[in-house]
Amino acid sequence: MIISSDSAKPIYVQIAEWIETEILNGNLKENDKVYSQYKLAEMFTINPATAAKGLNMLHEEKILYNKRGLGKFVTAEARMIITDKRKNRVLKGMLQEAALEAERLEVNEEELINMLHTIFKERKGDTK
Amino acid sequence: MNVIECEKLTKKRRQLTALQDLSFSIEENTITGLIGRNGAGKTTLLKILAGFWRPSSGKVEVFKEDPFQNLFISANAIYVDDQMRYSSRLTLSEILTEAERFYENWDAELANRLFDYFSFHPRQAHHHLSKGKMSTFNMIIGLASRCALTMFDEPTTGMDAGVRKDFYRALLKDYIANPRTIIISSHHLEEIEDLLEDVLLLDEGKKYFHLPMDELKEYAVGISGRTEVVMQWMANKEVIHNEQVGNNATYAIVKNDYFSIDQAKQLGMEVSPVSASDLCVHLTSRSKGGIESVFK
Amino acid sequence: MSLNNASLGSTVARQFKYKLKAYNGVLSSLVLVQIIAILFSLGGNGSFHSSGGSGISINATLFTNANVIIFTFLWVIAHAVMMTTKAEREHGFTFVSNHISNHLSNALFLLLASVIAAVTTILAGFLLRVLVYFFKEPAPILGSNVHYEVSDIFTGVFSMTFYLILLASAGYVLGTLSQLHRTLPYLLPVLLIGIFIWLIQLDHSLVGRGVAFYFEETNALLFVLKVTVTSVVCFLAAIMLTKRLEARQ
Repeated sequence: MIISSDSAKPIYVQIAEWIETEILNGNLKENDKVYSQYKLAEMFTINPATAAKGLNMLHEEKILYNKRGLGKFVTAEARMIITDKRKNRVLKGMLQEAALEAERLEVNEEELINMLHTIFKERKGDTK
Repeated sequence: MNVIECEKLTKKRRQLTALQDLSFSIEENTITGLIGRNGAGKTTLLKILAGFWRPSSGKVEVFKEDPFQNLFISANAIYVDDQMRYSSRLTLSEILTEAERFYENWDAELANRLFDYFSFHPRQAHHHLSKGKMSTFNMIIGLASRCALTMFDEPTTGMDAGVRKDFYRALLKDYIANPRTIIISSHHLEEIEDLLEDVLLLDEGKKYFHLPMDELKEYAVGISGRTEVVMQWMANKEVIHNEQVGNNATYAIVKNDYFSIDQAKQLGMEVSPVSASDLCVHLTSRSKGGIESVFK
Repeated sequence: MSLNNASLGSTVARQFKYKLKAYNGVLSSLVLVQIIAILFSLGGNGSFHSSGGSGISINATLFTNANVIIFTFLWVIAHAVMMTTKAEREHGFTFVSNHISNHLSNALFLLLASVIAAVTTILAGFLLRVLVYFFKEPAPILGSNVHYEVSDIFTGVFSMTFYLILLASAGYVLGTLSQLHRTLPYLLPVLLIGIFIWLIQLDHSLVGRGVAFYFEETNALLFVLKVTVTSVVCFLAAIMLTKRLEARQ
């Protein structure tokens, strides 16, 4: 991943999301140790305090837990929490954007749902 | 612990007021970006912190001491700019040897590795170096001295893009390995913002704000849409910048409050992020219309 | 990051060593200045012609190393003033330093330069004798003091050193003074010459007595005391003058 300064998202959010994706991809599993703030800082050339902020955010959301003196580890519920969060927040947000754009282009509800159906069909075709 | 504390710091030079009532403090082991337009007082502030210049009034403390002509401060705070001059009798490698004698924490291995990496010649003379090479060499002195307070004033002057990237990376790696308080003044906020923990924005010698970098990213948003809609929506908001784009559209930068941003989206305006460096330029620009207002 | 204490003593020592390297050109300029002075001296410093009624005429030429001494005096003043210029002062603040350590390391350097210059000046006197002896026709009549005691050489070096220290300190404090305002480098020499003329007009013997105060002191201890006190006062004045001066302008 490349950290983008132009993105609307603060860097610590980008870092948190990157770790979440690592968990979703299975690169980080339950009880695995995640990168330290310094490791992350070095990987992405960012300030260690910013990286720590990203890690703390995940800690507060119970995606990571602390082991005193050892660092932060992935909780058992991490995957579930992330999936839920993304469903509710990210996916919903995307759909809101889509609905707004549809309004601007005068695409009605039915048309939009049909478009979604088509996309699903195409994807199924791809995986066959 | 606060490494730097300033209270109502004012500096007058001849007729000009370079710094006015500046109050802020900087915590130990942080990287702070000192940002501002030309003549905002960045260099003046750093030279006072380094103990070269004397404040006209107000209080300034570095490591709890008055820095002016203070040996303790001189030994623990280094100020690096493009005006570093060494005796023309010394070669580059001799300058490094001399620096090693003066700075207790000097990291000779780092200095030599960087020296080789940037392919300096040991017998070269400092005053014969090109602008970019000189900056690179001064940067090596700044990093290797490992002073508890390290100040870089426009460190990348003349460096090409590759060297700049290397410099930022070297700075960060060495900071992680040896935490210390670092201040970087720069015109290129977009290049250094990822490295920074805090930003101190100066405007005509006064503090505009001193904020964590992350807050700065969410400080303001860009709004664009039909002029009358934007104008109406902006009526009771803090507008930082606005300009006409095309015939009937306006682009504006407004201070972020999450509620009205949602509202703007609902009204069909486009909301975009504002980069920290653009934001700082607009915050400190003299007229709301920017350069455009000159050509009317 | 741990904080380091820098004592004044160790900082002065470090800066002195740095200045030895930075100013090594100054010592080679001394050699050049003295060689030129010797070449001038080879022409003779004074000549005397007399023809008596008996048909004998005498042509006498005096050879002394007075040129070398005067040139060396000028050299030490020039260097002391040069050390106080803005460019050199800025070099003084390259690494760990403050005004006091900068002045003190300069003082040490001038002290060393004075000792070296005194030794070479006296040696130049011998060189001149040798050159005159071998290359001048007719063979010269050497002065009465042909045979030197070691103590004579020592006295020569000793007094020359202190004269040089005196002049260096004077040059240093005047140079420092002239740095305080940008008009002073022009104003100060005019002012000094003016005061000098005024003093001569005021009292003929005043200037002579001033010079005699230092240059005609026969008691060695008193001489050393006079020069040392004067130099210390000069350097203290330089430190006080620059106490509030800002560096790295």
